[in-house]
Amino acid sequence: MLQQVARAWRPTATALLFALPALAIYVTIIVYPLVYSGYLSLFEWDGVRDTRTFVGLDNYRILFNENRVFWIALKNNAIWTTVALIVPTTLGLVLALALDQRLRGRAFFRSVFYFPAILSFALTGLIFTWIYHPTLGFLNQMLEWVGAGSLQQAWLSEPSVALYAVMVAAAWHNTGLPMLLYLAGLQTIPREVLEAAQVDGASPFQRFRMVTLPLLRETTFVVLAVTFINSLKVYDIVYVMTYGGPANTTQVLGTWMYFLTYNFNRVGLGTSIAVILFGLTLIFAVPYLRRLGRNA
Amino acid sequence: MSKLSRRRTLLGLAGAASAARLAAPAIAQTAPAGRVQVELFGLATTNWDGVIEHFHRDHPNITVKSTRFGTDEMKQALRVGASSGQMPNLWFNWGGSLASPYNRAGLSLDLTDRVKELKLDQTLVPTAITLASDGGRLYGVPNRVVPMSIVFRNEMLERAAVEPPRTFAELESACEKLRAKNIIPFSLGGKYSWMTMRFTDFFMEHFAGPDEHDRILAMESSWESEPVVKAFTKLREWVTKNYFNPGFLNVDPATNMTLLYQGRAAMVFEVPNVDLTRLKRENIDAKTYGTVIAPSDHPRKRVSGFQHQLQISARAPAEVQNAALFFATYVVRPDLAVRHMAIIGAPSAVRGAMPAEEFPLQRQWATWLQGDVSLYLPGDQALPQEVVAAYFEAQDMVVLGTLKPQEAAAQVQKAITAYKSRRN
Repeated sequence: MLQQVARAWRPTATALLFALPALAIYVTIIVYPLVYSGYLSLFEWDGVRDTRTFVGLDNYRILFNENRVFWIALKNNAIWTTVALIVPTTLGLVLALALDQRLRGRAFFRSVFYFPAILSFALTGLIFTWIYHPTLGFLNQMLEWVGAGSLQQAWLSEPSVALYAVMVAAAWHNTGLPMLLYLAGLQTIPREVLEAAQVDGASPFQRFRMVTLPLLRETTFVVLAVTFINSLKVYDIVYVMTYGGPANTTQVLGTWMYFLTYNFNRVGLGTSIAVILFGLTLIFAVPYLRRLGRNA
Repeated sequence: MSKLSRRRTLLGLAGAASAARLAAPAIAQTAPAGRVQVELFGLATTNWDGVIEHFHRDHPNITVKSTRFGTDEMKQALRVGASSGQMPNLWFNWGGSLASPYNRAGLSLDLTDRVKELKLDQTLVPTAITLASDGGRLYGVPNRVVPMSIVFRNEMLERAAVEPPRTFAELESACEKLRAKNIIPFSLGGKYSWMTMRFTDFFMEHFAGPDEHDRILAMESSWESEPVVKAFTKLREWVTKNYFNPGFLNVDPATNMTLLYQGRAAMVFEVPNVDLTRLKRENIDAKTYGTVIAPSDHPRKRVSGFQHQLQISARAPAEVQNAALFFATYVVRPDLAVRHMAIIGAPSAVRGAMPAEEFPLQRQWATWLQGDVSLYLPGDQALPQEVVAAYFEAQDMVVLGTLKPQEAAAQVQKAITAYKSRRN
């Protein structure tokens, strides 16, 4: 009997043994910091002293009731996520549809449109910071040159446009990945299905709406899930381009978490944002991972 | 040896000799015996390796291993080091609220009782010690004093028939005349807010005077006071009069000299080091640029500024502490100060250490700082960092016109009250 049980468990034990090194790394660099962040969010601590004051959930109360910038950051994250779910994903789909055709130089254009995605966000931010420079930047000089000087703006200094100006830079960077994923998805659609629809008299738009789009459902789900998670994590491009300014109007949760923790010595408040961000990320991450698991 | 390099060498030697003579007392600490390794965290913009090379030659038993960080990365590295119990043995730091968390947490070595023994009080300019002090105690060895004041391009002032301003009224009149000639009076990089703060601080110094300004920065006087409101009002006035480059609020301060180089702006409120950075590199006539003490109209002449110090870990083993302190004092040894100033930057914190004549702005500021000009800490070092956050936000909102000066002052005061109540 005991031997039978041992025999039944052997494959599982072997699998666990093989998974152990990866699990150890995962626990060390993901699980432990996660739990520790949650723990730190219950304290008031400047990140330097040996002593921390336990405050329970007070950091969360402060964030929700007293910290005006937290709400600005949350709102900006919501705007960012909405725009990111629509603009780069749609552009990526359009480009993928265009580049899925038999075009001359198709490989070249695929590389060109994917190229921004291989740049870091920091570099993209630097490039666009110069493009947007109010006196020396390409954009304002170009507007002047084409006689549209009245449209010149201090793109990153004007609160009403600064966040959107950063989003344009992010969209330029972020379109490549959805394009690539959609291109891969389009390769999996059988040509016969599209040809059958064409024989049945379906117009190109009808073929797209009735055949291509439904068959891209899995790809779309992956694209939206990845975009959603990345949108919540947005940090570096905002940090580089606006530093959360002017007057904190372009703060997002990632930057505000950093500023509170490292610049303003409020480690408890900063890690509370990390916990909230983690919770928000789970909204999409859990269904995404479940679907991945089911497909596997 | 070329004529120029011979001249430089002679000047250097003359400078070193005069520094050694003027600052006769030598650092009293003796070199530790035995092999020791010291880990140093320094700013990437400071060439510590140059000093370390000399140090290793002079003291081969001590190894100083340096790691370099950018400005924000430095702050982050120290914080991570402190929170994880992995502070380096020796680290660069600014002063005020950027250093005080480490001082108050007992992480940096308190040198107060050793000032006389190390003869720091005789070796260093008083303003360096004042700026490095935290609650009347010294937790580091200052090696540089960094003033921030008005640097101008002569040609631009001449074009507007303006003399370098000596009073606040002259400064405003100069801005007006420059504007009339379509020259941007001040090039300003407002991203990160600290460059804009130099103006707000300066206006506060002008309206409050040195003593009251110090009380405001120490949060002893209320920010909801006339000088603060006037300072914010003046800032807004300068914005509306276009005394700054358009859209400056999110311009990177690292690029603020560009408009001056291009001849589109006349002045900057900067660390006067253009002669070190650009003139030497591009062989530009040193007379292209000039500098003045930002005119606050008070008999006690002060400009915004800070010091660079090396702090020693209070938790390092004794022999490492000694070696770290030995290195920190080696940097400011009077007989070596001129050489080190040429490596890590000027003005030096050492009495009598004068930059070479080929760096006129540096030399001018060294002369002033060795004389009767002193420095006040900028707001972002004088105030606790969470109050700085409120100060920066209020200031930028005043610039944008979304907050009235009175409201801005009240917003900062509210942050101070919250900070104080949390501390009690």
